[in-house]
Amino acid sequence: MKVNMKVKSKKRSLLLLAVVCAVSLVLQGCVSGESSGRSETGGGEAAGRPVELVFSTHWVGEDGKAGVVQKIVDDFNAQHEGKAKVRIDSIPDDDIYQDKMKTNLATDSLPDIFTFYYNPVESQRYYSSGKLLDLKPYMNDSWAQNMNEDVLSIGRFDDQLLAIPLDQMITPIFYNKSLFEAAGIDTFPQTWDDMIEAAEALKQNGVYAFAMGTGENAWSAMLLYSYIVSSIGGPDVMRNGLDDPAYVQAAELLRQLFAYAPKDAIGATYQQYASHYLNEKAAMIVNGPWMISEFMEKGGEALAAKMGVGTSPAAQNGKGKQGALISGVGWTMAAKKQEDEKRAEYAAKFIEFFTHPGNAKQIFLESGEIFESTNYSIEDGDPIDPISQEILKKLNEAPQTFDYFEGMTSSAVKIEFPAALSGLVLGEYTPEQFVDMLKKANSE
Amino acid sequence: MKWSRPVAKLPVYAVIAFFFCVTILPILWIVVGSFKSSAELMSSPFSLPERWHWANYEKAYVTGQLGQLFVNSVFVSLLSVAVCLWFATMAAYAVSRGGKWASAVYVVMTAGIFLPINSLMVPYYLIASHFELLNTRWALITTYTAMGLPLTLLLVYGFVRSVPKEIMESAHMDGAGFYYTYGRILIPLIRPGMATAAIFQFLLCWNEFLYALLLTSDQKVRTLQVGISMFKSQFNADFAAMFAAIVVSVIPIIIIFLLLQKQVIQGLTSGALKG
Amino acid sequence: MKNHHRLGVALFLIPAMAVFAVYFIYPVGFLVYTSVMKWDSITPMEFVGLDNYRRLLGDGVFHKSLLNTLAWGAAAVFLHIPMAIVVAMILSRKIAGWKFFRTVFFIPNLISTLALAMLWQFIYNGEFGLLNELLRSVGLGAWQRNWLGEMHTAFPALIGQWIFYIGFFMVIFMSFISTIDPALYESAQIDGATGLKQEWHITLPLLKPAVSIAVLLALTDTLKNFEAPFLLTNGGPVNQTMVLSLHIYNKMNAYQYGYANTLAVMLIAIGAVMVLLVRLLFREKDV
Repeated sequence: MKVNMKVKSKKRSLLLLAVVCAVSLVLQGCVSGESSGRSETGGGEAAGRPVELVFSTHWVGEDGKAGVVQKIVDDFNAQHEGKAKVRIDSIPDDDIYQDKMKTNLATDSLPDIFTFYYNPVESQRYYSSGKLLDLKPYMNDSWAQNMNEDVLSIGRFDDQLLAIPLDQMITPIFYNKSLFEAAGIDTFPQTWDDMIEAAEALKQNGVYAFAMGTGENAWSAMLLYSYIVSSIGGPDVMRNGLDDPAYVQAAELLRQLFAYAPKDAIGATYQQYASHYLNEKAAMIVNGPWMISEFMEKGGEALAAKMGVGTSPAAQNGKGKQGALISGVGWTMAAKKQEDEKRAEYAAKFIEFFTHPGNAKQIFLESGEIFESTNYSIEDGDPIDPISQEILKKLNEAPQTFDYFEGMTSSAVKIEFPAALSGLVLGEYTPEQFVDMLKKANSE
Repeated sequence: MKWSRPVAKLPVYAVIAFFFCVTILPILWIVVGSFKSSAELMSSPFSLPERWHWANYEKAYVTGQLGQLFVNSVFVSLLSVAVCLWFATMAAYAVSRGGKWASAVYVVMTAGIFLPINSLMVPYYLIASHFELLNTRWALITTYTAMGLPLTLLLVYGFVRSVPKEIMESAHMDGAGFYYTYGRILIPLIRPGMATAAIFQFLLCWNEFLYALLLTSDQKVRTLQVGISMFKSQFNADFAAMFAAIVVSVIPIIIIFLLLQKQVIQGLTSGALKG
Repeated sequence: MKNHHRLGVALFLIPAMAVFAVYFIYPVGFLVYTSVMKWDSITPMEFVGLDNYRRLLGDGVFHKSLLNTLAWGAAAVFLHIPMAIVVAMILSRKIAGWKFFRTVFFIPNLISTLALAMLWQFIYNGEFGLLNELLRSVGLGAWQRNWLGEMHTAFPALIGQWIFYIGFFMVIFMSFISTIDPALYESAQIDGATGLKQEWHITLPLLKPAVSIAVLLALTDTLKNFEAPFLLTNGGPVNQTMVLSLHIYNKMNAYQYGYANTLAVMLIAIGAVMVLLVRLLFREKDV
């Protein structure tokens, strides 16, 4: 009977499957020999094994800080050899990272050490969850002296210290000096009227003024909007809610400026519009210092030499000052509340170590990102790239600093922003309706 | 089985040619893209590379730690496919031999294909945590098996149903028992169906990303998709290296696909269903 | 011969049912339970009755995503699946190179959606897109546009990038066709039926169970569709390409877990209705 033959070949394929499984079992036994099984349970201190802590971070892979963060972790582990070991849980992409932290918070399974974006609305959720370790008892004098108290205050909640601010998010208006020159613009626009004039001149010269798009979270467009809103309504405008008329006026101006953006602006993701800027098809982009490494990687010295650092233009009768820069606290670092005192102690020690002036400075030098919560001084001989120097100089000269929109509103508004913006640019929404959409999202 | 009229061949090949063009475009694009520099990929996406960057593959393999991740992916996928097929064939057989209530169970279970997996991060995390599987490959194997079970059951049952009644009945006449019929008669007969279901289950495991990241925290137990995603974040991306990683990760599934397809053809050519 | 094996039937169903209970019944219960709560996933839940369900009525984005899901489902059933059947029939005839084509057609299913999405973004791009280049080269320059960024073209463009990748269903159909007894075709051949007639009168009726499975799967994919809209358009412009799963995702990200789970319950309910409809349409004596 044919069926019998089938049975034999069935057995053969089962055998094959079993062999493959066995081989892969053995293989992975070899590769991950020393750390099989779960590592997050128990303190293990009693047994004399080192405390193993998990540090979840998205500063891995292609991120400009991946190397230096890994080095800091290695240094910490070397210093506490045999007592504590920090292991990196690498999560690429900050959006995915934040998703995972949200799920971890909801399921009461936060990693030992993690970070979250500072935002007056969203940080409250973490603070009031009762799941964060109070770092106050661990903050000895030497640690306290390293930190800026006024920045530190945003991590305080109910007489506890729940998070340590890390970086200062400074997002200037990068511009291409040679494209400006070619269009006959000698100074960076001082007012928004100048800006439109400059944009027109650039357009005549065959380049787009702004590299921006409404894809993803509409990052650069959101930052440009923040500049416009603040220059009209003043540096405190975002603390007063969305009712300020500045929001509507700014929307109208942003709509006008979109006429000088590439044709794929609706729906373009950061990678798409950034490439317009890096290919010198667009003359301006609002973004942070993490872009500096990209200037070098994608365009080399030649491109990097053309980069200028622009600051906020002024609005007519606006409350914001010309020369202001967007600057706000970016990521903050926190630890999970621990039952085991040893684990809590080492988690705190790691955060102290991470924010140590030496390490913070190292991150700055490697990535250009400013870890301003920590006091470190910059010496003349330090290898700082010229663009970072320019940003620091502009920051010192800035008469004011502005907040950035996404950092000041709830997640619901952040999600609504790109959708509402595409409607505004396509003419589906008036500026009033655009702001109404944001308000509606805010009230849900 | 030849076409009875040669005229019919022209439209037939036109159809195939059309689908071929649509399909080969992404394949070529990714393979060619994997040899470009990342900047070139963004600035002139449809050109040939100025210089062939073999280094992308080195970077994909080394930085992406593809070796370990690959082993994990194979392990997780194969075990999940095996368990899933095992449970599904048993259930499908039981449904075909059972009464009304077994059919009702089948209908309810297959409705599970509609579950919006993305909404279940919290419950699935809690389940893995409850069984103390977090940060192990078993968390992924169990979760993927569960995710794929409704579809596997649906496919397998479709084939079980297509087995002619006479075969099962004659087996019964010959004195074959319930379990013997399952292992020795049914399974060989539905092998094409099992191969098809296996391909889809394998695909699910191989391409899944969200839970691979959510349920683990150690690179040592993660899968290929996590490695591929390491090349991209919003502000920093090396798409060329990512494409190289994709090419490397796709080749094994093509091989598995080809192997399993052979099973399908064997079932076909030996005329298993004729008994 | 039924009913003699109650114990065997029960034993064989137990593993699948156990998995189902843990991974489906419990999560669905969880979704239903939280759908009547106001819950941000951190602070304790607060019972709000049917408020979340009432909110569905006024949620324009939800309505838009339902319409899109319907349109997508229609495209799947009336275009995607028929194309897959035709190609499966052709390749099952073992034309020259059929093995090669079968593998090639299946490969897009193996490639990460992220890479495919990038490719189509470049094809539809309004600045340097391949489609615009193509139109210009054939003298249709006036048709050039930012395909994924305009109100009326975004959704058709989104469907267009998926509809021709028929490999998934093609494989299902081919494996079903392979179980058809070749003798049926031989006798038809003797009766003088042409290839086309053979397909219509023999293959198609016998494919009915496969078609019902395919329709069910296509509708499932439609309902759960997430990655392509998320990566290509993120639901934009102005929610023109919004789909249910993406809407749910956005609400979860906005810490509105209660409402997100209400949407998920709706998704399951719609799915259940679809299963029933498909079963009615393809009713067979033994199911």
